[in-house]
Parts: sequence; C-alpha cells; structure tokens
Amino acid sequence: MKKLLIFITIFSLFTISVAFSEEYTATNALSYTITKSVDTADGPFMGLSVEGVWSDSRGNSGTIHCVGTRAKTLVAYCNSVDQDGDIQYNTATRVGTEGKGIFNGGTGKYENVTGGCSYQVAAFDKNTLIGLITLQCSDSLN
Amino acid sequence: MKNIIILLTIILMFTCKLVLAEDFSLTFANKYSMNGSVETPLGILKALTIKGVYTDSRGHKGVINCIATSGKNLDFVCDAKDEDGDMNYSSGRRVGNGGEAIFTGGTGKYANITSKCEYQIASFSKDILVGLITMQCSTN
Repeated sequence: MKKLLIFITIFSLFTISVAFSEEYTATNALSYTITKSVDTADGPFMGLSVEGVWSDSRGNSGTIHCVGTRAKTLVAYCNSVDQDGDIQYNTATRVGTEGKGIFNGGTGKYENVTGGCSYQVAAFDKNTLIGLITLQCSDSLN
Repeated sequence: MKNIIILLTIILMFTCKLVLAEDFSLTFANKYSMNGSVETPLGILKALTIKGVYTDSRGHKGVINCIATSGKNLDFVCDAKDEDGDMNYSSGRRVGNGGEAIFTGGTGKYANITSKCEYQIASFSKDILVGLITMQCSTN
C-alpha cells in the first residue's frame, strides 16, 4: 500500500509537471563579436559579445544580448527582451553545433519562469560572424 | 467529343503545373550596414549592404550577400552561395514588414531555376540592424 501511494505521488507530480510545462520553438538571428582572444595550453580562449533578434512559435519576438567565452565549450549569459519589454534571463552552453540553454526567471511575464532549450547552429558564417539558431524549448510560462 | 478533349487537356496541364511546382521555405539571419544616403524629391534614399546566412526546407544552407536601397520601399539584389558552392541570384522589393522576391537562376543546381517568393520580417532591431526573415517560395 505504501509503495502504491509513493508511485501515485510520483506519477501525479510527473503529470502535473508535464501539464504545466509548455513546449515551443524559437529562431534566433545572431551577430557575434570577438572582444578578445588569448592562447592557452588548450587552444584559443575568446571573449564574445552576441546581439540579435528572435521570434518564437508562441507569437513573441524581440532582441537578445549575450556575453560569454568560447574555448572548446561556448558559455554565454544572455537576456532577451520581448515585444512587451519583459526580460528573460538565460545561460547557454554549446559544444560544436549543439547546445543547451537554461532559463533563470526575468521580469514581467518571465518572473520566476524556469525551463530550458536544446538548440542547434543551423547556419553560421565565419567571415561575417552571423548565425542562425534553432531552438526547442520548454518552460513554466502560462 | 471536342469539348472533352479540351477539358482533359486543361486538367492535364493543371496537374503537370502542380506536380512541377515545388514549394519550399527559407529562413535568413541578416546583418544590415548603412553605406550612405542621398536626399531625393521623394525623400532620403539610403544605400545598404546586407550579409547573412540562411537555411531552407530542402536541406540547403549558405551565405547571402545583398546590396539594397531603402527609401519608401527597400529594393535589393542578392547572390547566395550554398554548402556545395552553387550560387543563386535573387532580387526583390519590401514594403513595410513584407515583400516579394524572385530567384533568377544561378550556377550548378540553380542554373535556369526561377522561383517566386513572399517574405516577412519575423523580427528586426533598428538598434543593432539584425533581422530574422522568413520566406515562402514556389518554383516553376
């Protein structure tokens, strides 16, 4: 009986979690600037500034600004401002062309919103440092 | 009998057109640069260069390079190079947040291929001059 109660509790929590998380897709157009690069024993280590625009399948769009570093792994700290002026904070980690992002709340409708994304570099030009990013996300925004 | 033949011919031509027309979509990430402006009787006309990257629903991707003028409308001429090094040429006009473009052949797989497209600005920032463009095309 105890095991059944534990199972029902876990199942209920999982169901509630799925019900309250919303899945959507987004696309980013990004322009990268290399702020500084140093050579290290593991190869070049670069400072990055990234700015761009985005739109998502929920009908939101806006701008995104990030600062980060790139060595074998790219790590960036970003904020996205949508059409209502609401800000969403997120961090991104990428190896190669595949990455993951985590939402860390924000302002307005994004306050206390958690979730994350998987993302891919769909196209990138090393000469102009312009990239097209596709994302598949899930968050707790209602 | 003659009417039936005419009807069958029309149906056949319509079916062939549908079969040979290929619909596809593209997404662009573009960075815009202002290169100067002149005053005209119709207002200020700005010169632009546009550089970016794209992917399409047929599995191709590449870089795009355009020159444009922006006044009441935005008129542009572009070349794009895909992952195989094949070039395609396009031109078009944007009015407001949308516009029309036409692909007018190219090299390799794009030689003699023409397409008509409609496109929209999904997102654009005047401050950083970066745009996200979606386009729907039909090839005949």
